[in-house]
Amino acid sequence: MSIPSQKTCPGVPYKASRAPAAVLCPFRAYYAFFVRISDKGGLFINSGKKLVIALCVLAVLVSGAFFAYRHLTPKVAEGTKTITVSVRHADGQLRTFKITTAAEYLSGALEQEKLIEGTEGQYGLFVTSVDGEAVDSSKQQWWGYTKSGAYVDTGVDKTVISDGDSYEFSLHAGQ
Amino acid sequence: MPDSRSPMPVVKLIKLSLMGALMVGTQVAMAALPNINVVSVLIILTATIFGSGAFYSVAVFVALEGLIYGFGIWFVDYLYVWPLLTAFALLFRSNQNRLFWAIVTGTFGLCFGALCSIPYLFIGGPAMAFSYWLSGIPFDITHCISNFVLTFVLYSPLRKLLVRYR
Repeated sequence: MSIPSQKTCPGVPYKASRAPAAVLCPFRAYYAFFVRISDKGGLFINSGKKLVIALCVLAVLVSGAFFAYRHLTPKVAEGTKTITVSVRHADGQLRTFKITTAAEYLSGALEQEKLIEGTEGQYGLFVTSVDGEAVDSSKQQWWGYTKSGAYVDTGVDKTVISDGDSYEFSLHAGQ
Repeated sequence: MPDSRSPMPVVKLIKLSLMGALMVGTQVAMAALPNINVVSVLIILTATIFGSGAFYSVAVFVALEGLIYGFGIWFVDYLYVWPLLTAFALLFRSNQNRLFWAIVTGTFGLCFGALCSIPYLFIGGPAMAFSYWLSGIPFDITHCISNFVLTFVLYSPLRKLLVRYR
């Protein structure tokens, strides 16, 4: 087997490795870059004026984040609302429920009707059973849901409900 | 000038590992407080005092965190978020102004959620990543303020202490 040239990665000595040199080169060069910069003391910013400007920029960023949270987070609707929940079972049977509730989140409305069961996990409530049909983990089954046919990117305990909403639950298998 | 290609002395490797262990210990001790910890201060101090060897401390920290809390999606975040802070600290390692480092760790704390949302771009698309970031903003603001205050208060005394044991 021929030994690769030492010029395969400029500035970094050749060392036999199982990984291809083309993969290792960028990482070695990246590490060597920081070693060189930091060994020379790095960049230097110590001007009071620049620090005050940076502090002001940070304050603006914090305010911006707070503003985004206040105005972009879905608002909780107070009072009684009526929603429609359809459940498509594994055998194709479709059952529809009209729920009148004062709950703010979808999980509250479903638990009120005893329609779901689940376990609390790292990412909130993980639904394990809907309308009496439990998932079979050996078949990698899971309950998914949409709102008026559109994908919902929050769990049932984070989904804010409004009057007239329509949700569809269906059993999926696999990833 | 130390040569990056020469083997690292065992004593330095032990000190760097202990810094990593200190990061884990303080993080676990302060785990009950939401997003309030001194990990950022310790990483910056390690980078400014020990140089590029700080990457070893961060590797120890990340590996131990994974062993303690399990290897979830958050572990992927840790693989690039903490090294990013280390790299930034190395670029500015000659600065010793505590206000400068307080601003750096404050900004890092504020951006933490946004940085951690990157894997969700590939899992559920931009909507999922945005939703993840948005729901965590109160934690990011807490992280920002606590990082700023802790760095401003602890940077100088801890630096004096660590320089003695360098």
